[in-house]
Amino acid sequence: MVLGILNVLSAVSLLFIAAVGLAVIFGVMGVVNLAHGEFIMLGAYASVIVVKLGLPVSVSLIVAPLAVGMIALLLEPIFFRYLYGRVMESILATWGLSIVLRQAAQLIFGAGYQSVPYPTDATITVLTTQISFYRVLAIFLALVIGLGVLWIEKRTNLGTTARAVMSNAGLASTLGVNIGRIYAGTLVFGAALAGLAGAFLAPLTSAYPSMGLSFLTNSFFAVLVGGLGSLPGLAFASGMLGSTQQIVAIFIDPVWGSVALVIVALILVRWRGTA
Amino acid sequence: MSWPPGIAIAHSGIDRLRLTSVGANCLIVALLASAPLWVSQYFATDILARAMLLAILALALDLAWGCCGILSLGHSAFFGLGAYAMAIVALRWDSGLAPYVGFVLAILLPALLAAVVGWFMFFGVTSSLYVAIVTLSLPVLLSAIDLRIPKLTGGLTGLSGIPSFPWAEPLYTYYLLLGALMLAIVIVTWIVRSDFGRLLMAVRDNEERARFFGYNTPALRLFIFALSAGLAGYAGALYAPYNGFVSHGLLGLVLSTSAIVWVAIGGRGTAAGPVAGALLVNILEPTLNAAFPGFWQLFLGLIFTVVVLLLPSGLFGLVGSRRPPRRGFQIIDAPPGRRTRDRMTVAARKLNLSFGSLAVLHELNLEIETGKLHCLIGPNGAGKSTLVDVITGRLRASAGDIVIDGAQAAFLPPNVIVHRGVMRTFQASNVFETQRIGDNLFLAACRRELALLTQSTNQIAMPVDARRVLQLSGLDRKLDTFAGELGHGERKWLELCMVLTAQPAIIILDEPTAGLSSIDRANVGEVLISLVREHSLGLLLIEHDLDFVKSIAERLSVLSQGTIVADGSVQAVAESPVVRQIYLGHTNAHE
Amino acid sequence: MFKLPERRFRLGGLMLALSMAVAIVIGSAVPSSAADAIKIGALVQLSGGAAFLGPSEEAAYRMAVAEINKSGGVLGKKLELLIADTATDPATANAGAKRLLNQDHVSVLFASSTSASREAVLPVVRQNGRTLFFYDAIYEGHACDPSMFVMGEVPETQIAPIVPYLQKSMGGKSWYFVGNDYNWPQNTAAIAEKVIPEHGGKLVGTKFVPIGTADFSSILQDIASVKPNFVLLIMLPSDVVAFMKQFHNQGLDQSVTAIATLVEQSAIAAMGPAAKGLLIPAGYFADATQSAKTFEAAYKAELGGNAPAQNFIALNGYDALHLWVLAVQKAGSVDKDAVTKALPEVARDGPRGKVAYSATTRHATFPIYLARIDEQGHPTIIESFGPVDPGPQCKF
Repeated sequence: MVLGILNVLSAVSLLFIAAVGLAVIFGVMGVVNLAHGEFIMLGAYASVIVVKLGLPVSVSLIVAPLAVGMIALLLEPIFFRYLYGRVMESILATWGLSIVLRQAAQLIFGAGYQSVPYPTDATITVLTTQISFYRVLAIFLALVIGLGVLWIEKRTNLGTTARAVMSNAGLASTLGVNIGRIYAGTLVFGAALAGLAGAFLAPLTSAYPSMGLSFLTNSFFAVLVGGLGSLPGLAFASGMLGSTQQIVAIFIDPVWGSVALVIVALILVRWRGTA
Repeated sequence: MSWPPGIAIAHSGIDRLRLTSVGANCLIVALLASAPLWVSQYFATDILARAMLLAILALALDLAWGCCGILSLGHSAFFGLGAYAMAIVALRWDSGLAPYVGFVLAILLPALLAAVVGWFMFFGVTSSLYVAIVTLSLPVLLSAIDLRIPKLTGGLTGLSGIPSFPWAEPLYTYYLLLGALMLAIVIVTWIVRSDFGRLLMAVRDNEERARFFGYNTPALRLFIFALSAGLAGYAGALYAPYNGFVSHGLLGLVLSTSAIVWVAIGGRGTAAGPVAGALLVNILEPTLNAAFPGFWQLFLGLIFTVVVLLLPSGLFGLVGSRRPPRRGFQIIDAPPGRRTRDRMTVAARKLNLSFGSLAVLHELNLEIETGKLHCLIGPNGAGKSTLVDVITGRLRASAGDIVIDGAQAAFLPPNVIVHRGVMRTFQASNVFETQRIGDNLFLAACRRELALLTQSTNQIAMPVDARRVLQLSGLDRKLDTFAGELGHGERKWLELCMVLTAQPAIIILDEPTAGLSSIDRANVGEVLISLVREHSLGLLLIEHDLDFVKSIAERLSVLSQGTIVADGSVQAVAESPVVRQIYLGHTNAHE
Repeated sequence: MFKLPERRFRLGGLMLALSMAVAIVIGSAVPSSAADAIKIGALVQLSGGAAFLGPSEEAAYRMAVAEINKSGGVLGKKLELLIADTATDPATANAGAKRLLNQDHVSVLFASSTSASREAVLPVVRQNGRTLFFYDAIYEGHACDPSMFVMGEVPETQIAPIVPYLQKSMGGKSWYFVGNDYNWPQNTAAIAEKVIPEHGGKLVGTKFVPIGTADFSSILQDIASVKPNFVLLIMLPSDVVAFMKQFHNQGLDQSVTAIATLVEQSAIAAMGPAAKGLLIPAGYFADATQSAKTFEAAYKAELGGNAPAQNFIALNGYDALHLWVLAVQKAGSVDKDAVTKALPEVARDGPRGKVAYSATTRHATFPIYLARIDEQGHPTIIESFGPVDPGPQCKF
């Protein structure tokens, strides 16, 4: 029972960690990043490279966000800059980006699964069963990231500026805010969060080129249900969707679990939309 | 969504490229028909035939996406569903009727699924992101369910041994499929070239405005989405017997993604672009994929991204660059008696509206009648536009009633309120910028959406008052101009003409004279007065210009801090202490 | 958003169209080949999800062709191998089969692919009517077609021999089954449900997960509570890797023995320390027998030290091609019906032992070996079961 609860909580946390980068980018800049899953994938492959270089795998938790953030920074002037605020274009263009990134990863790393060792093999004993410490770590990481981003948003100047840009970019720019820099910074930050998620998830799932797709729809549903730009909303949505999926998976079937997640998401968005 | 004028021409899509589109399709069909003469049989029956089937899928996707603006990221789900329906019926039912029943099911089932999904997507608060994500999850779900019922669907292995067409000669199959493609082209071209197509494009580019002209836009989008799903299922129904097998991949995201790529590269919103794009990519793919495995997909992805960013009209957009053909609009008299009501009242009673803790409207009472020129003034931020939004159905009040002609109207959607006889203009004049002025007026005049499918007319039925205003504004000489190219003042005139063409009983005008020159303002004033006196219209003007108001209004209301603080004749209200307080900051009679 | 000059794009578009036209012309042209060669078509998985198998599969066919050509060819002619990629996608496999059969006119078609791709290739073979089709892969069994011969492990050969052996040698009678949610694992589960009780065992749990499942926490939870002796992992290598890592991480590998039927070198390496103790029943391991070791040496000599490692999944093609050649030599022609009659009458002693096709079932019989993965990630053979008859797969 306790194991079940911990499993559900860690599933919810994993969904939250994967979705938070997307929420930040979408919330502040109105860019729908369909390549978000691929950013996660790149973070996972960063872990693979870290391990291949002989470094301890926990180093990847620092390297991956940096690497993916760097990639986003490079892409900003040639690609993302044209998409700010334009939903339809960003959907299409980032979809194209995701195709390109997927194929590039396949060409460079091969289509197979590359495994990544766990940073820690420890288990903790809960009552009579053992649960992997790493999964419990997911819960803590989700809390740290969630509270961290919330703190940046609400308590720092940077966060206030970003929120101002989010509500009225034109006005903010007349007040001397460098919108371009805020946008670029937010993009890098969101991408880095996705990279961190990828590095964290890599030991659990192994890295493979099309791994991004499975995170994409779930992350988007979490963001849509949680509401734009709302981190507590995202937490709530991750909670509802993640637990639905996990519970249905345990009692019936993982397949119906994913179906249940989508149906619940559809109903919640519709219900929220008309309220 | 409005487009800046410079890009308006590039995005009017089908209208501008219409002739070239039909011509291109004829050329493509001719090439395909003669292909067996100059390519090997293998190439024709194995590569071209498959490409033709996928071109139908591309056409179906474009019907939803290019013509109606529904970005369906998972359209292959419908194609796969159709293919599986055909395969399952053909394999499990031992009857001569099986292929025909399978064919019908293959079209109906996807359409039904699309209708159900569309009900979730288009009604209520929606956005293109929501549509994208929901349609993205369709293939994922269908794939998962497909694996869950392997006894029916063959699971991952799929179903093979599907009986093929009842003839041995592969060229017959080739020409059958070519005929199927031609039928699909004809259907899509018909829809797009009809007046229904004009309506669809207006809905695609400016859904809100279409709603406020009485069109049931969610239902329209649902209809087109279901139609395009049925068309995709039709392609799937032919794919199953042609291929002899159906596999799990037909329901997946890879095929959906590819379809988006073909349509984008070919040119969305045209009837020839998707066909050309799909044919091109699917002809090149076997060769280039074999020669450069892995790189071909990467190359395709790059081209797609570039096209989407820099060439939104795709390759086809490069081809058609001539000035769009003129339609030759002709204005005719509107049939008499089409005005919805001669005498009616719109009453707002005890309206309350809050956004969170901010109370915007508070116990508001207001009445608008036909035959009266009623003005509403108030300081900025008082809630005037919000009030209009509530009355016309754009926002829902938290409490209170709206009664239109004696019937409750508080929860009606905007298009129904239009049908009751109440129309509005917007503060930033809202017209269909990617359409010509004549099209704008045509769309304003029409009501019955499906009837438009059968016609393609250049006539615009306008009542007398609308024609007068049209002539007065000078727009009657500019019917072929795109609305996006008009200046600020002309747009206001156009919007007014459009609203009048729709023949409502009551019009709410949101700052009709803002930004107009004094001459134009005087003209507008005269027009409005005559509309009320001679045609018994009811007008509510939201205004700032107190002098203008004094010169034309018969009744004046003042809205301040969410409630009506004064209401009565112009004389009484204009000189009341309340108004002075609001506008001048003091109640002294002196300046 | 800027608007680029249209003229530049028109030129670009024209050039693009021109290059595409050239590509179309090239693509529709029929390539010529040596007149005096017998063309062999082989479909392998060079890209897509199973791309990690492709190089080995192709190398297996190449090795066989090289050996045959070295010893004088067939009927006085050399063999020419034409490879097409299935991209682990049935539609691509279908297109590849069409190209090999209808454009290149190969005399025989081999495929090392998924079952879905096999089903996509069969309609092409049937319509062509003139060639035999050899399906060479581990699969779910019971695929039958008059034009097809099958060489590969089926559940009857992998599960049935090991159940009694393991129950006797390791003790314990309770079994747990985890499979991906599609035909092969589902068929395997049906076989397991039959075989395990026949030997006095008990199947205490059966779970199906979607392909690509990364999170086995709910299943591991169940295993921890049910405490079986053995767990059968009938999943794609990637999922087995994910399972084994979490299985090991939770310490369950101390009390439960895992058996996987579809893992090869890269998957084992991917598991890292979690691979220790995993059992694999399969038709070939590189040092299972002396003939395997001899083959490996010859293989490296022929294709170079960097040649892709052979495994039981890919090697089926090698043996199948050799058997076909033997049948052609016996029949004296490549004619489909003549070779069909001759095939069951030939046998070969190859890297894995004696391999032969059955006339009634059209499936191949070959030895099965049970290997355990040791601490270095190396499979050591703990038992060999000799040639295992796949049983009544088809009836011809």
